Amino acid sequence: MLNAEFVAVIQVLVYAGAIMVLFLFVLMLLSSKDSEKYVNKWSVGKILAGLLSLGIFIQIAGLFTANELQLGSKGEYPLEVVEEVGSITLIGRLLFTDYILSFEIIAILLLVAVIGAVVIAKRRFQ
Amino acid sequence: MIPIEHILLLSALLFIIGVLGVMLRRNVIVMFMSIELMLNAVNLSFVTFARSLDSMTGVVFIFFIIVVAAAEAVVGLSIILSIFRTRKTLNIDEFNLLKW
Amino acid sequence: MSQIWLVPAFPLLGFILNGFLGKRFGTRFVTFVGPLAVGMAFAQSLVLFFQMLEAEGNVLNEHLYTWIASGNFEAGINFTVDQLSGLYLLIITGVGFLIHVYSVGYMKGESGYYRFFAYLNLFVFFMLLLVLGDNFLLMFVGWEGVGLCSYLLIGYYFEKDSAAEAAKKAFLFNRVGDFGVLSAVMLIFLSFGSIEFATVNAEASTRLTEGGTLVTAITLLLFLGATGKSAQIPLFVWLPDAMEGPTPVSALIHAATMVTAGLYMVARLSHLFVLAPFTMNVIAVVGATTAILAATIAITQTDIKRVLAYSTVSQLGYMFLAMGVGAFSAGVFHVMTHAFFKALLFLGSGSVILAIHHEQDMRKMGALKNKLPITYVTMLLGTLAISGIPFFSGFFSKDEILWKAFSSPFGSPWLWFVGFLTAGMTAFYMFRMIYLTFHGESRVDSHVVEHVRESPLSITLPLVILAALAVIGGFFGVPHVFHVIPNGIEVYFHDFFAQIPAGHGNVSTEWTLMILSVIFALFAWFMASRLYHSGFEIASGLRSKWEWAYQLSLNKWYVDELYNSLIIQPGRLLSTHLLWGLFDQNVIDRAVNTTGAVARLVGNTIRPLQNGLIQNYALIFTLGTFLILWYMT
Repeated sequence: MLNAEFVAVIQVLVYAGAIMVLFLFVLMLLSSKDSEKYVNKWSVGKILAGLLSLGIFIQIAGLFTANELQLGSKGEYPLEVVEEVGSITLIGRLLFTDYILSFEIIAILLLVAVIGAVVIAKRRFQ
Repeated sequence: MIPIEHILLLSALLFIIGVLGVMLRRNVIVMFMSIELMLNAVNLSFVTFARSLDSMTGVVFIFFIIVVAAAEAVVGLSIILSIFRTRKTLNIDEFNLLKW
Repeated sequence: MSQIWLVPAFPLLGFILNGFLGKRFGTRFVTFVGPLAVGMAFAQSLVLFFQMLEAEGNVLNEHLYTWIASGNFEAGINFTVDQLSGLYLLIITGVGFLIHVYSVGYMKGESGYYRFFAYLNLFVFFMLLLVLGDNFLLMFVGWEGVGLCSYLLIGYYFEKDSAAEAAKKAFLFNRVGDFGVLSAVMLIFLSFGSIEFATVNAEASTRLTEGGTLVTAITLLLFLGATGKSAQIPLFVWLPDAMEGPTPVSALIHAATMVTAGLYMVARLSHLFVLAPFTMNVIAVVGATTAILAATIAITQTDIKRVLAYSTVSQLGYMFLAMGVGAFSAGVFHVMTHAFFKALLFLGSGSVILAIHHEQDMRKMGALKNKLPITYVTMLLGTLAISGIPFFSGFFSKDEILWKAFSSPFGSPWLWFVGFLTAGMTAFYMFRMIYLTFHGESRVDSHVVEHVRESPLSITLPLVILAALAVIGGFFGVPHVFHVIPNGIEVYFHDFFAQIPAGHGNVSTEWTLMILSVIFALFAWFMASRLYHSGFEIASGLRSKWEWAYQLSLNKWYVDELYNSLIIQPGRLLSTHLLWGLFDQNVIDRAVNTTGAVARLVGNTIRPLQNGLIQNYALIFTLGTFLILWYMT
C-alpha cells in the first residue's frame, strides 16, 4: 500500500537479522540471575509516567488527525514513477547522488561504532 | 487505501509504548529494546509521509535512521557488558553514577 | 610665570622619598631630604611673596587641573597667592623649615626616623594645599589632610596606649568640626552656585541678606569647623592630649600651623562673616571664654608641655576674639607672632626635655639655667614675648587685639576686660614655668643631673633664629599710636579684609588701656617670681587655702568628664543596646542568616532532581516534551 517494499525487507534483515542476534549474544554473555525481580518501587513515578505518556499520545494524535493536515510541498516521485522504475533504483539513485555526503558520514559512523564497541567491551588484561 | 491517519496513529502508539517501556521497565536490555521500538515507530511515520508527499527523501532518511540505530545498539550493548562485569546486575537503578 | 605648584610639590616629593626610600637609604638620606624639601619650599615661597607684592591686585593665580566639571559646577585645582596666603606660606615654610632642622637633632636615634620626616613633610604639603587653594574643595582636602597627619604624628609612638588614644581623640574632635565645614560648603554652593573664595567674597553682600538666617547658619557652621581645628570651646579638649606626640610635632602642628587653619578660614571669608553680626559676637565671646578658661587651667599644670598646650588654646582664643570683633589683620598678625614665640617655647621645652632624658614633669626640673644657657635665654625671650612685655612681638599684636576688642563696633569693654585678665594670667603662668624649670633648686633626678648638657647645634640654632624673630617680629605691625613707623600689617593687607564701621574710642583711651595691661603683666611677673622662684613650697601653702579652685583648675574644669557623661556614655549605651542589640543582631543578622537558610532550603529541594537514576531523567524528558508540545498546540 505504501509501495515501500525495499524498506520493509531492509528492516527485517537489519533488525531481525543483525540487531536481534546481537541482543541474543549479549543476553547469553550476561548470565544474570533470572530470579532477581526488578521492581519499580516508586509508585508515584509509575502513575506520572502513565499520565504523561497518555498526554503526549493525545497531543500527537491530535496533531496527526487534524482536519487540515498541513503537509509540505509535493515531491517528484508519484506512485506511477515508483511503480514503473522501482523503489530500489530510486533509492539507490538518491543515495548516491543527492545524499552522498550523508552516506559517507554514515559509513564512518558505523566504523566508529564498531571500534568503540570493541574498545569498551574489551577485558583489561592485568 | 487506508487513510494515512490510521497509520500515523499506529506510529504514535508504537512510540508511546516505547516511551513507557523506557520509563517503567528496570531491566536494561528491555529498556534498549524499547528504544529500538521508538526508532521504528518513527520509521513508520516517515514512510507514511513519504508516500503521501510523493517524495523519496523520507525513504532515504529511513536508511540513515536504521544505520544509526544499529550503531547505537552496538555501542550501548558493549557499555552494558562492561558495566555488568563490575556490578553483576542489570537493574538500571544500580547504574546511578550520572550525578556528579 | 609664577610656579606656585612648586611650593607644595617639594614637601610632597619629600614625603614620597622619605616614605618609600627612607628606610632603605638610612638616616643620612632622610636628614638631607626632609629639611631640604621644606627649605626649597621656603625659598620658592619667598620668590612668590615678592612676585605677589609686585603683581596687579596683589594676587597670583595658577590653574593646574579641572578636577570636577559637572553641569554648572566646576571645581579645579587652582592655586592663589594673595596677601593672606602669602603670609601664611612664609610662616608655614619658614617655621616649618626651622622645625625640620630641629627635628634632626631631637629625633636622633629614634627608630622610625624616616617615618617621622615623611609624615612631617606630608603635613607641610597638606597645610600648603590648605592655604593655596582658591576654592573650598581644595582647602578642605588640605583641611582633612592636616587632620590626618596630626593623627599620624600624635600617634607616632603608636605602641603607647596613651598616644594612640590621644591621636584618636584628636581626629574625632576634628571630624565633628568637619561636619560643620561640609554643611557650610553645601549651603554656600546652594546660595552662590560656586565654591570659589573670590566669587563668594565678591558676591556675599549681594546674595545674602545681612543678618539673615542663611548667612548666620553658614558662618556658624564654618566656625564650628574652626573650633574643631583650632581647639576652641567646645572642641578644644584634644589639644592637651595631643602633647603625646614628639615635641617638634607639638611645635609645628599644634602651635604654629594646623591650629591656625581655622583662623585662616575665617580670615579668608571675612566678607561673609561681617554679614552675620550674631556669628561675630559668638566668635568673639567663644574666643574670649576659651582664652580665659585655658589660662586658668594652665596655672596649675605640672607637665611643661601641657602648660604650653593650654597656652596655645588660650592664645588661639585671642585670635578668634580678634576675628570676632572684626580686627582681621590684627588676628592674622597675632597668628604670625604667635607662630614665632610659641614654636620657640615648644622647641625650647623640647630641648630641656631632651637634656634631662625625656622628663616632662616640672616637679623634676629646676636650676637648669646655668646648664642650658642658650635654651634658657631663648625661652626667656619667648616668655617675654608671649607675656606682652613692651617691644617684644607679642606686645604689639596682643595690644592691638585688646584695643580692637574694646573699641570696635562688634566689641565691648567686657571683652576687653576678659582679654586683659587673660593677658595677666598668661604672664603669670609663663613666668611660673620659667622659674620652675630654670631657677630655684634642682629637683632633677640625681643620676640624670650629671649628664645635663646643652643641646647640639641643630637644636639651638632654630631656637636662636626663632628668638630673634620673636623679638623683632612685632615691629611689622606697630600700632598707629606710636607714630613712629607705619603699621606694616595694615599697609600690607590694605583692602583685603572686609571693612567694618569705625570704632569708638580715642587715642588717650588706647594709651590708658595699653599702660594698664603692661602694668598688669609686670605685676603678674612679680607674683610669679614671688611664688615660684624657689620651687613649689610657697605656692603649695597658698593652694591649701584655695583647694577647690586648685582642683577645678588641675582637672581642666572637668570638661572631659562632662563630655564623657553627656555624650560618650549615652552614645555607648545607645549603640550597645539599641543599635547593636536591636538592629544589628535582629535585623541584619536575621536577614543574612535567612538568606543562607533559604539557599540551603532551595538546594535541599532541588538536589533530589539529580539522583543518577536514569529512569527519573527519562521521566523528566517526557515531562518536558509534554510541556513543549502543549505550548506548541
